[in-house]
Amino acid sequence: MGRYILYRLFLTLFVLIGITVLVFSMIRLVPGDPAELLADQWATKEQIEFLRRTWGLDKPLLVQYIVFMKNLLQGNLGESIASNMPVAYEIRMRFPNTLKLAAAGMVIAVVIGGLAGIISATKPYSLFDNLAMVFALIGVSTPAFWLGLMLILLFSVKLNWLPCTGADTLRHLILPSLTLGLLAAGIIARQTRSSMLETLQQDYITTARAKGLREITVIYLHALRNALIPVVTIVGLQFGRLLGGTVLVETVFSWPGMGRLMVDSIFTRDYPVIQGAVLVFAAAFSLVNLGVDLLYGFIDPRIRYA
Amino acid sequence: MRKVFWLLIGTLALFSAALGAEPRSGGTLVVALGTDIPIFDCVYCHGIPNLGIIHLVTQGLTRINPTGGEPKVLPVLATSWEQSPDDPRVWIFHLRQGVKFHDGTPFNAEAVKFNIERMLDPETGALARGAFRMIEAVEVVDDYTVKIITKEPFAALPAQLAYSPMCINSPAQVRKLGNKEYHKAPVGTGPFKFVHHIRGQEVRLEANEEYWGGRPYLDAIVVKPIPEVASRLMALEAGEVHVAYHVPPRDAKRYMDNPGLGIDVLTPPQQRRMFIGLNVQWGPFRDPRVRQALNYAVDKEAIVESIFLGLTRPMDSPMPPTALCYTPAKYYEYNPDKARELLKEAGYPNGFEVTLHYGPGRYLMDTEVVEAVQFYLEQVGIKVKVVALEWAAYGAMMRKPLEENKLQMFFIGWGLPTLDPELGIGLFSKAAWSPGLNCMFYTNPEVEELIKAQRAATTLEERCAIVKRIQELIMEDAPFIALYYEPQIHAKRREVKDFVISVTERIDEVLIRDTWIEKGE
Repeated sequence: MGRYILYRLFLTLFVLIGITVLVFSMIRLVPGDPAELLADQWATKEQIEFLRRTWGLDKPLLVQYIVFMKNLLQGNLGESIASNMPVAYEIRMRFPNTLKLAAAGMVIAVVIGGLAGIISATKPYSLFDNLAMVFALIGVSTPAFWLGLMLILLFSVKLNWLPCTGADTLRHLILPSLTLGLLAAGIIARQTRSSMLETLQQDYITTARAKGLREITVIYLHALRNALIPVVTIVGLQFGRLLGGTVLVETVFSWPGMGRLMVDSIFTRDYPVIQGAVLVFAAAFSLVNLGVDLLYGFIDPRIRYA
Repeated sequence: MRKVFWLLIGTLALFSAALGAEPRSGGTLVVALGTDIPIFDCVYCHGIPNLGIIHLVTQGLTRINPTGGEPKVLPVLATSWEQSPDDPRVWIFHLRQGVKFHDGTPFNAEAVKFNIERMLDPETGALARGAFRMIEAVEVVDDYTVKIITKEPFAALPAQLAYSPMCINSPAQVRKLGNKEYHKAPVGTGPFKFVHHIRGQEVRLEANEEYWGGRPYLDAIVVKPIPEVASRLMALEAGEVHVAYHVPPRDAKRYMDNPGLGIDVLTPPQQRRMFIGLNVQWGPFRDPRVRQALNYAVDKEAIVESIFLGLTRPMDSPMPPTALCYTPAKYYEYNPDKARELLKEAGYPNGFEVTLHYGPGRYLMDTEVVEAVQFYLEQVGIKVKVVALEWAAYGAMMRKPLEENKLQMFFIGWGLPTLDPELGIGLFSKAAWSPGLNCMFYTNPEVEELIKAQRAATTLEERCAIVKRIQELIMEDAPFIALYYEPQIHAKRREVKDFVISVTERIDEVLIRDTWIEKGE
């Protein structure tokens, strides 16, 4: 087990190095650079070039990359062009916010999606099942910014129950995490339902029922655990998606997370921040995936890592 | 019956207004900007509304008259100034006396010298260093008099010093924290003191009890970035913020039509010129008749009325009406027949094909305007292919020198934060060719001469006479399709009183002292 984890982490390292190469070259190949963008109406050619030199952007791409990697190995992600602050500081200020949002969204998604899926599967083609699956379909196909704006309109503007922007208190977390959670709940509900339906037709379920076990025990102890593998995969993927995909929700709720930091940085071509943020996202995504793989073993003892 | 009811309501409102007219202290003003303030130091920050917030803490020497009226330049930390009669390169600035920085150190001529030199020092890496490159030296005459010497006569200096990146910071604090770290605890002379700046989240300022203009009524100001306009307006309507920057015309109309919402629309005067730049070195645009034809082909009034609901006016000069020495030089009325005639004369009876670039989302209603222009040009036989680019990529295209520049037509807005002809018409010279902003690659020998001449003018009359001629020449040469001046539309909740956003898009750093909130929080 330990060796397996080490092996996976070792592989992740290569993935991350690959990502630095990709991001580093991609953002520099896209037209537009920070010196041109931040220089004002009076700027001369000399001044634009001076700013480029200040930020080390006048050097050949390979030299810039080597400098970046050298700093990275010393734990230094560089300094933001827009704010003069260390990139690590910018990320430290933002990442917990995104994590909080994604985690809260995930909890909502799992609770609502999971429950809806289980109930639908036990009463297939019932009114509840049909309604739940229609809502799941709506959830899967609704754009996040639209749902977010509608929630703000209802709960902030009309009812005045919840704040619509900011991130100071737990109350601020409700609407954005609900937006994220409701959208992800759709997929989870559908996956749980189909996986449960399949499991409920297995022989051992019939056996369990024949033994005279209570239906609730049959469903939650015998069926659910076995139906969980595909569900956990989807949840893991969704969590990764939530981490990276909070950009729209963060924009609508002006939530100070990584997504907005990244978008702001892309618009101003703040290269060091983009590099750092993508790297952190990639690392988080890889770790979540690793976590999901390890979880399989706990859910289904037949799965072993050697 | 209904009339009586409204009359009653009106009388009541008047009464309460009269009763409530006495300003009261207290409360926190919450302002929502569309942009995030990246850093709290004028020297490294960009974006005029962002800089306007920084100016509430670290003020300037001068400021632009918020109404755009005369005189164009008003005092802040400098109380008066004069150009030396013997040497037009020398300016004397008299400073406000008895002013202290928030850290208790005195504001004086040394501080002015320190800050201007910090801006000019290449080591600082100031984004706007180029805007002050005409300054050769700053000399301290006495504690409250400072002499600024320009390399050549430069009539626009007092206006130039009002440009947002020029702030007077406490030299003691800058020395203590160093250039790079100073933004963490900036210290100025303004009506508000810096409390904190959490990037992407909020800026918090508190009243300066010892402000030289008297303590402000407000206790504090909080500034939040809310990039999504729909969220920004909902936050305003929900009462979460008091002021929202940049409101689309249709929402402004909704607020004006529904006074019950308790939201006032602010429309400070305009200074940004919106036009379609024409690369005068490209194909058909080499012929001025073609460029004039394009100007006649577009119905500016219809654009102003239907897209901007009449909140602005068509462009009739390369400068905005609020600029010093503005003159309505020439207005190209909508006349498609004349446009066709001119095109025929120039040898394009069947029109031609051309590509128009723009960066959607940058300016108010930009896509709508570009589509309207495309439609009008189609009517006179010109097929316009519209290419939308992300702003930074579009900017990179504009900064390319002539040989590599691929732009034919492009939609752009030029702000004039100093309201001065220097920048107002200076960009129409060869010196401003890309990578400067003149990617129309326009030049006219007579205009070039006159631009130099206006700099050296020592009286306003002399300067304005020259500048009037320049405006006429540029409008006649038409290196652009002159469209309109971008309206500034913002909104505030009605309980906020005496709140002023300036012609420069900044919250006025002096008038903010008088802003108050009727209901407190």
